[in-house]
Amino acid sequence: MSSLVEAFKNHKSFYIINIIISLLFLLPIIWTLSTSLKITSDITSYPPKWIPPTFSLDHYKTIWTFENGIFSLYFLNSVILTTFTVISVVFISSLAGYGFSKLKLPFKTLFFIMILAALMIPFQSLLIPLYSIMKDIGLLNTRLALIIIYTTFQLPFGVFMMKNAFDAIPTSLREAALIDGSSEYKTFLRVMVPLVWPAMATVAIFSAYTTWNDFLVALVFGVNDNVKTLNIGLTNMAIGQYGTDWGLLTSGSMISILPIIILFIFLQKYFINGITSGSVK
Amino acid sequence: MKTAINQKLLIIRGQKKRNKVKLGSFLFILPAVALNLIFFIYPFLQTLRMSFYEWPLMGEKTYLGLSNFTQIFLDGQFWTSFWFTAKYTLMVTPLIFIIAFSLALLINKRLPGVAFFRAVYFAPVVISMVSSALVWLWIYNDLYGVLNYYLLNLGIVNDPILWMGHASTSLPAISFMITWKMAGFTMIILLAGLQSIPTETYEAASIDGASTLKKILYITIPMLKPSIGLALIVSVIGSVLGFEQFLIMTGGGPSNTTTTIVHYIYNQSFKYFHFGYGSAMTVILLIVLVVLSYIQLRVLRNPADQ
Repeated sequence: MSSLVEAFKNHKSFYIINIIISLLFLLPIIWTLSTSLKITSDITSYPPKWIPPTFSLDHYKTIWTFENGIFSLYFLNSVILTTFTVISVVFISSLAGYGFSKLKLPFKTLFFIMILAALMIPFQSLLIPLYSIMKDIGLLNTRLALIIIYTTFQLPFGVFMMKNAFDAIPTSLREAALIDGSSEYKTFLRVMVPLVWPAMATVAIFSAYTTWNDFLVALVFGVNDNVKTLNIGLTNMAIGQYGTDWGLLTSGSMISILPIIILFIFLQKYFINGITSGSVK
Repeated sequence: MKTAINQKLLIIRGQKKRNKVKLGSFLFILPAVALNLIFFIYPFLQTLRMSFYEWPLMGEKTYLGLSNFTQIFLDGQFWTSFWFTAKYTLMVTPLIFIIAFSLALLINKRLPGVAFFRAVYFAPVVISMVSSALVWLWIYNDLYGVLNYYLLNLGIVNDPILWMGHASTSLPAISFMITWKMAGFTMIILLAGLQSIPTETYEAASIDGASTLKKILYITIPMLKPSIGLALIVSVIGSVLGFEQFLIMTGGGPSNTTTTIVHYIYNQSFKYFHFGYGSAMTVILLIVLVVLSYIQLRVLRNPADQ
């Protein structure tokens, strides 16, 4: 702490400028949080007040129960989809990363290039045929369809990340384990996986972030209420009859923002690493 | 003993007989490869094929040759969307870049607390586009929005502005929102580039009496070219694919003046189920993206690589 005070004294302009810009960056969120904690009559009172005159959790209570708890269903769907997608992405990309890095397989390079090609082609360009496929195999309007699509399009980054992680582990380690009579699967699980968990964490964070924040996949493939996600629910509220209910809309936004921001505060390094390398590729 | 181990090693390394690939090994990559083939490679080829057909949701598909494409060139809404998306990209890309570059220069210091500022500038990136759009829609609200309040109060405008009511105000407003949301991302890419420039270069320039501005112009920017290229490509592709922010904030209106290309493709494909027509527009979009990335790579190629 004393070093911070020291640094502040020596670099006053640096800290003052950064504090001002930080405040500007945070103001929109602070304003949303403040609105969500006001009673309805204060939300539309003029002039706007940054600190709620009366603090209230009313909107946070109403939002879970209005229209037979439709928002709770959307929230639950987002949680389910995110959980299963993260598990399948981490699992499948760890397996494939290991295979591409350490095993001798026919057409290995070709398959690897094919998977990486999915990084170059924007996902938006495949929506139409994917819709037809899902319709043909009867998965339209199911959570499974969403999980499959999320997984397929998050895998390229996951596989790439995991292959790099396994590449960094000396081959001799695997050979030593195999000579000692360990099977390929045991070697993978007991020897290799414990060494690559930071990469797995980065993939998991990237996957959770992408799935939780997704809009387009859920919009196209989740038409019925029982598969709609938080983001779709919020959008429907905003462009529908709740478009002027800013108490509900701001509290809904905060419910969507808070889990991911809390994760970000604790796992900053994995977030920045995962999101930048995940989108830059 | 030793030879036995060597034998085994050779087998493991696959340099000896028994070199047949074990099915078990293939299982490691099977799930990833299968998903890729069924849900990426196949649909990709299918997009190309569908662009030559009239392809309704149900019923007969008709081969049309190139007539989807000729129809697109005569489609007024396609061109409205095309130019609107181009305008948005040209507005938002420099905006994000300038802010991000300034932020990166600002926090490229080894001082306590820098990590905190970096996290704050990056924080909007982790928030979903939907939430960001709602946050700003509330700020831009014409009746109760804080922005109009301060503009009126400071006497900058005389009447509240209907921000989302017309493309001339909604485009800059949404561009500003996206800058807030994405500047932190570009900042991180540029920061990584900045930190790879050796400090000796700056020291040598200082000895020669170069000013800060000169150092930025003649050292930082040229040495940063690869990072700048990367940042611009990501930002241009993101803007060309822009959709959600407009769907939520303007609904594409009024009268489709703020409907982006992806938004128009979405409407044609999933509102009217013109899959063939949508696919043909998608193919054009892909070509545009490839050309843009190629031009940017060429323009920004590091002279040292040539």
